[in-house]
Amino acid sequence: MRIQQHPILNFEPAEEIPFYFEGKKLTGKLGDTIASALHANNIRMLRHEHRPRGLFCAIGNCASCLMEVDGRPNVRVCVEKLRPGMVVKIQKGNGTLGKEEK
Amino acid sequence: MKKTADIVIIGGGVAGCSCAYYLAKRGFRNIVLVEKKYITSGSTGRCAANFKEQWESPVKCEMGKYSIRQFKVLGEETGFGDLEVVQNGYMFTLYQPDQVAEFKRRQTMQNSIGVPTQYLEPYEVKQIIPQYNTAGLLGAILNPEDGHINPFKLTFAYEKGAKDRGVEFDTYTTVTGIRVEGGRVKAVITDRGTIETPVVINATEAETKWISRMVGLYHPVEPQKHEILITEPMDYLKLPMITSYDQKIYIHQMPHGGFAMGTLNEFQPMGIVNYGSSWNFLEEMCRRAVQMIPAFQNVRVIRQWAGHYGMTPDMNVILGPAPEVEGYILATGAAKSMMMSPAIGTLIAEILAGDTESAIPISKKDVGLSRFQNYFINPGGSSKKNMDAEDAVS
Repeated sequence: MRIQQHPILNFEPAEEIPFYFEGKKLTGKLGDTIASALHANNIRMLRHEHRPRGLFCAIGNCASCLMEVDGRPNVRVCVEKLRPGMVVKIQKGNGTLGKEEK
Repeated sequence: MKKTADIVIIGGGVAGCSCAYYLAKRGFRNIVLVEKKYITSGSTGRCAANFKEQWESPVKCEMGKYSIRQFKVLGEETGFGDLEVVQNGYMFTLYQPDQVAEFKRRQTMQNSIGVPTQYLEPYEVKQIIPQYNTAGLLGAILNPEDGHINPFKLTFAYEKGAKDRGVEFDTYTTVTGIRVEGGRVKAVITDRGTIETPVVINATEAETKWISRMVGLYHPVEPQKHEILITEPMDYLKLPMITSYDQKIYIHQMPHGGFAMGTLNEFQPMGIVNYGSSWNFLEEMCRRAVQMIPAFQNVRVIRQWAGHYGMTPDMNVILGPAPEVEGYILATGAAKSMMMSPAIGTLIAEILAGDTESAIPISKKDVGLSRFQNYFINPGGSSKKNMDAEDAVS
């Protein structure tokens, strides 16, 4: 879902950038946050902790949309900008300390 | 609120509630506990929630051993339920050769009285805590029997056990004075009325000296401010609690996953009670924690708070009567009230009952006030020994 027409805002055509969600290749647009790119691809479930979780506050305050991005857990995808080639995964649980270390 | 009581306990923290519970269990009746705010509102609810039995002196080791045995049964004994007792161990990481020598000396003493501390080489530390940055580390001391307990649940368990045995809890009641006549305690005066009583137990820990002033005495218990922060929850790794005297920090993962990290506030002088949070702590704590465990750099801090240690000159508990005023009894945990609360309550009950035998194999003299005769010379001054005491960080 992506809003195409809006009474006040104008949406300029933006460059498409690829990223990966759970192994699938998807495209978002330059300027998207990870969450908005996922929503544009009809993906609403971002995290699983006791139950499926999606966007809640959407401004980086709550812990509802924490995802695993490029191997790093607990990334707030609602405020994290999308970059080309990002590997985004649904996070199960709280994330492990030191997991991202090579 | 009762007008007369046989025993009045001042302080609704873990020490006071433990005294109430063990006294009631022992058969004492007509007990009133007075608390300024709510139960666990002071340092109990602000502590790092860990317990240990590895100490620098045999007296404290015995009290720790007894307390751990009690922690395992208290939930059931009081009918409260689970107290979240987890025994993941407690590790001191050592960076100085003299620390290594001191802790090895302690280890010999501890092992001789049944505390299973082990010495670990840096590679063994790395095996137990893979995230630990072992640069400069000389070794570590680990006791696998130490661990975590929920201080709120523990205190509420004592409260339930005491209430079931008839103890009255008066919260939001501030003690404003203690009436002493002819060298004997006669009554406790509060903002909600006076309670006639022959016995007062001061279990106010950090605020001990202000209560003692009400009976005209000075007792060497000085509040020292410590601060703790907690991070967002991460997967529970069952790591031991890590303490470093060199970096002056302790790190402890709660069972819900958040890492609690604390240290003393070096900028506030001893002797003041101030529950405010500070910037220096947050900045300094994060720097030291990331240096110790680099993976913390991606973990967010949720909140921070402050609490107080009640520092005694030798960092051991003060349990027992003040000889100058009959009926005035101290139950100070010396910053260790939570982890030693069963021993505190049991010893206070034994002292009031006049027992010669004890459930804990120590002498009452080792925990009494008489050992501080030399410290009364300089009231109010925090002695150097205080600051250097080995437990200044934990």
